[in-house]
Amino acid sequence: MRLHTGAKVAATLAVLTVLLGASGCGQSGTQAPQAAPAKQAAPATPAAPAPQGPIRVGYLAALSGGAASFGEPAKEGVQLALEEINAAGGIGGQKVELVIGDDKGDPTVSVQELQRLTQKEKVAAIVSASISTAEMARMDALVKEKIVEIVTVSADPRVVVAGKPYALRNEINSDVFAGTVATYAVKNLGFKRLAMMVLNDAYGKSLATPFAARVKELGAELVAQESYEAASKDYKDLLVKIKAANPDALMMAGLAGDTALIAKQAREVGLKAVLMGANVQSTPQFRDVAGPAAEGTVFSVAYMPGATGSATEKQFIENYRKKYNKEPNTYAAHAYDAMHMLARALQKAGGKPEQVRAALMELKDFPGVTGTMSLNDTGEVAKPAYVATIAGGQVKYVATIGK
Amino acid sequence: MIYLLAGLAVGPVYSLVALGFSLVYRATGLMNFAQGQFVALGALVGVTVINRLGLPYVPSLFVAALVTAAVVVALDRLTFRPMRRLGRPMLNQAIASIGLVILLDQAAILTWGAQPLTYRSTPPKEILELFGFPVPLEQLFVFVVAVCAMAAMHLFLKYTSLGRAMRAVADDPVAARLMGIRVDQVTALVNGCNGALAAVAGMLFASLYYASYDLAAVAIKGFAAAVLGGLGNLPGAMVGGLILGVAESYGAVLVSSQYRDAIAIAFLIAVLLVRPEGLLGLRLRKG
Repeated sequence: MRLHTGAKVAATLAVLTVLLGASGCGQSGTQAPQAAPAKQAAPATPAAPAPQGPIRVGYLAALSGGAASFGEPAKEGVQLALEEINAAGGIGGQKVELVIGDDKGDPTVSVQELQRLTQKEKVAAIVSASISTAEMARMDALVKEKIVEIVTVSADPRVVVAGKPYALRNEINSDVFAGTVATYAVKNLGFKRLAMMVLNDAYGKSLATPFAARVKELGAELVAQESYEAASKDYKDLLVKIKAANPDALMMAGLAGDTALIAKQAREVGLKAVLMGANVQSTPQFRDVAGPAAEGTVFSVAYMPGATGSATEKQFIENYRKKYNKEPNTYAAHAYDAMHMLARALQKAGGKPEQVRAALMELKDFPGVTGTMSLNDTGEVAKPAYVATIAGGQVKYVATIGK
Repeated sequence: MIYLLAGLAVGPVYSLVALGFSLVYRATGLMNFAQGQFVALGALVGVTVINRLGLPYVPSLFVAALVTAAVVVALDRLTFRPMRRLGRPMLNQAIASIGLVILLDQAAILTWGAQPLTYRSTPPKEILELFGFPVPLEQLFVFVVAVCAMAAMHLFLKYTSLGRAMRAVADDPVAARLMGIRVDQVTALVNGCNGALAAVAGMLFASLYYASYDLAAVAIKGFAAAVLGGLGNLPGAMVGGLILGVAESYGAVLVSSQYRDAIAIAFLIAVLLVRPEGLLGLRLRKG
């Protein structure tokens, strides 16, 4: 009996070791490609002035796990910008070096990686392409480390707030994403009856609340609202309910995979309403999964290739194609802009981390590839949003809404 | 009516998962939590076979079934067979299967990425109109394939000597060994069948939805289906899948979509309160 329990415990321990080993492997595996080790290795001569090594900028995002689909393209955008900056002589004659952190989209790892970048790697500022959960987890740590971060992916309004001034954002937030498509539906298309399918998580709700508010504000009616779990993947029953409410349009507040299934299944149950969304419908995944049902979907985007018509943007698209042999997406464009904004600010701040925020706030009408940008007092960007649709399997520009 | 259709299409696919799960449970007593991962693996192997090798959908079902079967057999050989030989308690084996869940999830993400993937060759996508109801051909196709796979499995178990050997091992491994059945080989075969069924289910799910490592979360309902029908009971697994699919669809509409999964599980609990052995379960397995 004793022996038996002993064996049980031993086997359980063995399994646990394997589990820990497996996750440990993942960790070291993804950390391997991170950041060349500090070359400065400055001999500690106490009298010497500040080390004249390169200026170090951090890049923090999920580069493994599900959220890597944001982190990977954004990394390409940052690296392209970095090449251009260094080719033009760096910042005040100093080269810029990128230190990459992988937060895996995980709240705990997010804080650890932030601390590694600031305490060990001594970065001057950070470009972030983390998802909202990872972003929210390190808000307090950012304040504590006094390090500025430009948010390029998370659209959650709670990430950039007064009182925690170290996170700034160069992408429009979900209030604007949802407000834009609501405005277009009611004002431009004249829809009176709207319905919503809401992913039951923070992201889905962050789109649904402002959408509903804007619809009511403009005098239209929200006739049906259903919430769904991403894991269930079968939404036909809910769509039948929505069909019964006879809406003009259905807003899909969710992510690429699940809204694509909603689009597909909406047509399967014979729902004829115009399908609407925000941002993720511009991804190839949405079009692939939804197939022909994707046609005619109307959605808001933060970056629309060619919409600004600026020479800077043309150059960006050309350089990006040359380097990566593909088209840039919104994450690449925003991260690219963030890196250039940061370079400009670091130049003004003389590379001093504590002055980066003030320098960023002073950038007025910064000519980015995603539009002309200024930051407001909270640190949110003011710039236009675009409405796009899918025609012939391609994302097509429809309209520009707001400044 | 439309709810019934939606439930009917996906129900048999749950049944396939439940059937494979029940086969393994009966032969080895193992609660394999990685069952959902086998389903996702089948779907993802399908992506490679169709999109890389350029095979059409139906032949790909067979290729993916073979590949997944081989992987499942190998995993059993490396993980559970040594534990069975050493007489490790079932609890330990179940915990080892949770290890497989993590391993397979991460392996799938590393190999295929975490994005939703679609097949280049798919079942027909047209939507027919029957008696005023839209009937997607795709769902009809999924229903037919799943039922065929179940029927094939049933005939195999019932009428071939290998199938009989599998059932004999399931009923009593010791007696089967005494009767000259090679229990190890037959157990490998059972695992192979489980892998093949999981792969077919995975590719069917993937054509209805999309292929991704997170299909495991959908497939795990096959568990519930297996329990509902009576754990280890093969016809029960089939019926359980159907009932679960329909109950879920109706529950979501009649009560609230937010509680969709809760309703399916509450229904499961209610059934088990009245019939702890499951709908078609005759007796609880000893030991």
